[in-house]
Amino acid sequence: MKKKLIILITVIVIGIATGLVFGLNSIGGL
Amino acid sequence: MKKVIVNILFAVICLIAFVVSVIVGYIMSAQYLTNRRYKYLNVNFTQDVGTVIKDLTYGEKPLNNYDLYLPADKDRENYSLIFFVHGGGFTGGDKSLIEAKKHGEYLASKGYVFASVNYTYATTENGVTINDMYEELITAANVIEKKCAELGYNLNEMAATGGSAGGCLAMLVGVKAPERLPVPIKLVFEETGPASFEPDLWGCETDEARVAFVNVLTGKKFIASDVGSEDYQEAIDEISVATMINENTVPILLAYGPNDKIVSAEAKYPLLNALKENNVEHKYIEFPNSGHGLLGDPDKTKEYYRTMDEYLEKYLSN
Repeated sequence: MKKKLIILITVIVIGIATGLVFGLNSIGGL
Repeated sequence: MKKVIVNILFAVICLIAFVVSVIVGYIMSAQYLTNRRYKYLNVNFTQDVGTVIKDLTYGEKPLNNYDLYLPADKDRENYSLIFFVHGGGFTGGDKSLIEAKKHGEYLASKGYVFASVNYTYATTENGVTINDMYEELITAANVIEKKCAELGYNLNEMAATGGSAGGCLAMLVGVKAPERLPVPIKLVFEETGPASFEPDLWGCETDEARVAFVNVLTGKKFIASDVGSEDYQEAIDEISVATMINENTVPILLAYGPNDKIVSAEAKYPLLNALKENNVEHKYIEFPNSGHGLLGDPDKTKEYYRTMDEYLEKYLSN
């Protein structure tokens, strides 16, 4: 259970980071 | 078997969590860039600083309305009007967009009367043209001047401003026929407004594409064989501020991003050339890492707003 929670949190962190980078690049260059 | 189902469920949850997280990250970045874009205009807009009167009307059409941002100080003899036109590709937008609010609060806090004006934009049904929008804005300026006098703010000069389609319309308001405005115009400052509608600058490569482009913007019904005719050129010139510049044109502050994918980056050059040829006071600030939103160059944003302050100080008397 603890392992799954860590995986889920990691997925969320990577997701937010991906969205941030994508947003900063795409919107920033618009 | 049960373990497999649990693992599949967990994988689905992870996938959903990832997609939602990407969207959240994207929204956060948009929020960050917008805050960074307008941070120089942040003021604590309390009643001691100014007030906003929303949804005043200047005509009978549904979008013939405007918001007025008024400075708290009502004791001066005269005030300068900053006339703001919102963007939206001539097909959308609103007077309450964040850029209007930020500019309005900031400029009212500096003692200017600020009007953010709506206008009837084009839809596939209504056939509204850029000239129609211009005419509505001229009416708006005249009604606003009277309304301000009623409210105790006597206007004796004005500046026009806007972004994108609003930048184009603000330039037309300030340059095309300044004698139609209720008070003398002293300055235009704008961001990424199309300055020329010469179809070749917008990637039109065939005569069919050229007339289709011009017909949409002007409401005319040219056919391919009209390209190059006097009427055709006149229709383009009538909405291209670059062709209207003369030695009496008021000072203009301009900002553009070379990566603009919405407004042709080429369309600014005829304007810049005309300003130089006619010795019109102007300053062009390029945002080298930005596109249409001018979001990629915080240092240039700072320079633009500093220059805006300098121009306002220099060319407006109140």
